[in-house]
Amino acid sequence: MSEKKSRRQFIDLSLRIAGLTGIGAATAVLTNRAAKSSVFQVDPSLCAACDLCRTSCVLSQSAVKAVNEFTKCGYCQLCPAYYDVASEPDENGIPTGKTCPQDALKRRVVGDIDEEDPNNNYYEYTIDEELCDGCGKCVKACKPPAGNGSLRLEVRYSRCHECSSCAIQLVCPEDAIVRIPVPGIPPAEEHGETGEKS
Amino acid sequence: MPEFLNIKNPDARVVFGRAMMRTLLALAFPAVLAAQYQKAPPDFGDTYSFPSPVHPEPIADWMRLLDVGLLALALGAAAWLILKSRNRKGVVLLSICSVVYFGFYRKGCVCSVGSIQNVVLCLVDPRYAISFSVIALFFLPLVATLFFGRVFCGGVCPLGALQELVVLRPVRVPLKLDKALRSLQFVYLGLAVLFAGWGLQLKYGWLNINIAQRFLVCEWDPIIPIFRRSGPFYMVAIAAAFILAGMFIGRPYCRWLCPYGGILSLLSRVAWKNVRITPDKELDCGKCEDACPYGAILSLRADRGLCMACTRCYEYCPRQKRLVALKAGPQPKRVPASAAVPPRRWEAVARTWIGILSVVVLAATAALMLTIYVRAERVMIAEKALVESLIEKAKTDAEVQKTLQPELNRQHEAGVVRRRVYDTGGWILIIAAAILIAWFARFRPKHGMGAGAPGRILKFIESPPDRRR
Repeated sequence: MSEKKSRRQFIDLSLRIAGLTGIGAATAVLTNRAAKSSVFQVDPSLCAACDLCRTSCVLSQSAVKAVNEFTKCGYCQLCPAYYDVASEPDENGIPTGKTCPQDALKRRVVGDIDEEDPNNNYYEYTIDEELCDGCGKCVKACKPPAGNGSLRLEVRYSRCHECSSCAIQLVCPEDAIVRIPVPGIPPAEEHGETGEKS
Repeated sequence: MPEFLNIKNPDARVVFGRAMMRTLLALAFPAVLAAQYQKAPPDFGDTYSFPSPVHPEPIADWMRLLDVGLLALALGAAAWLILKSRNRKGVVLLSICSVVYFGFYRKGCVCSVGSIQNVVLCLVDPRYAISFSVIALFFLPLVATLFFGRVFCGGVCPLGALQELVVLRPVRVPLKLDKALRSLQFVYLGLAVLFAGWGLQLKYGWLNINIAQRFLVCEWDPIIPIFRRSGPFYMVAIAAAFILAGMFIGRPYCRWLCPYGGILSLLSRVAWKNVRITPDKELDCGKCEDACPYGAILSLRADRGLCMACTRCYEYCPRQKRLVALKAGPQPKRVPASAAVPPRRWEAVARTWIGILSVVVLAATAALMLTIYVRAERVMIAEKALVESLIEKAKTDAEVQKTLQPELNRQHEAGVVRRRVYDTGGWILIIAAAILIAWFARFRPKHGMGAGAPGRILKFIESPPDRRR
């Protein structure tokens, strides 16, 4: 009986040591390859604004929102992302329809304001994140050559649950959801250009 | 910049403005845009400064490391409570803390169960660099299991802890069926590894499977939609099914599906210290035979691989009872049951009404959310299709556009309201379910499998203790 027990104990001990050694070796291999935490973000150069971001996120309101890059925006009065240029124009020639189905793209007049002629003004375009659902219609409308491409879809980490496996990444037809290191600033902004200009 | 375009010059502005108007009226729209199109932001001078971009921060690295530290702490606490202190109340409290922190607060992601996939992906794909916290998340419970048995499953894993808390009247699963189902764990492990690293590309005659690399465990995780309080319909349905099943089967995911549990069961067999039902010597009295809701007691011993260290069986052991009595010291004379004070009338009424109310609220909220969901998917699809077809017409016909706009607004409003219902409804469901599960203590069996309510934590809601024990 005791011989059986000591044989069992020996086997257990050797397996335990083998297990620990294996774990140690694996940890060493992985730590070698390890890096800072990464998060999922939309690569604007690949994104086709296909509307799947809105429906594929595990959250009922997608964590992907449209964002305006002010340093690239033209501040145009006739913004193709704001106005639906294919809709019927009114008597002044301004399109009556809006591109954003949720009316999340808001604007306010900035700079030197011309009271008489609204066409002469510049407008700052911002997105109301409570209303935006990440459909990307404004992003699509803003793409060159019609626009500057200042509007882009971006994962907002105030809402994103940072799942280990992004449900949007699985369905993205352009493979535009990429892993980038924390803090997860989208690739476009990494090349210079800060916010302040004047 | 040419003088006439300089917007600071008031005369120039008028000239420019009028020129613009004419251009607008004269040309077709793409040309209008071309006239207005700015390649770069205008030079505002000092009338306007660009707002700085707002980028919400993701979870900081130090918070992830904090999670690792808390995991290590929880593992240590679990090992101590299960093996040394032999205290079920402590284990239940630890489970609740784990569900609240690792589950609801951290949304249950990244979890040790899913970390298998991260590790595999890192080894297979040179482009993916795993983070230190995920490495720790994967290896810490393995090391703890090699030393102390499946204490991770017992009090730390948030998925397991949630299933633990809903066990009500578990049935005994026949041994052969249990064995067969257990092999699913390793099948799932194999599939999880395969899909995490490579995906499945199979072409053989008519058979053409092309599934890209994906995290299978995450996509089919039955508990994570509860922690996230959202998810696609199929995931929420699976979650509800597993919780319901968990009331009558006892941790079905942990026993038969969890890939990480499969690894832990193998490691636990050679653990240094493992769960012992008796604190000191085995009497072979058989009193623990019916104690385990998970079928882990075989031949009157806790099976080293299967036992998930829930410590329910401790209460059944006469040696444990003796130990507890010795620790408590000499007791004052017990009041005979006949002389005991019955609960006051308002307490009994309140207890009944809490139960009834939580059932009603739970059922009503679930029904409401389901109805809204079905309606959104079925009925409103038709409405949306109609609107889509009219939108095309509205592009050329201003009258149609005018009648269409209020309908579009109505649909958008409905969408916003729907989202709010889902969000609030999720919270109500969880709270009502928690109250209901605590209230179910009165239905838990007094003897046999599944007996031993999870600690007398919510004393008021439970029925009075059974004096016969």
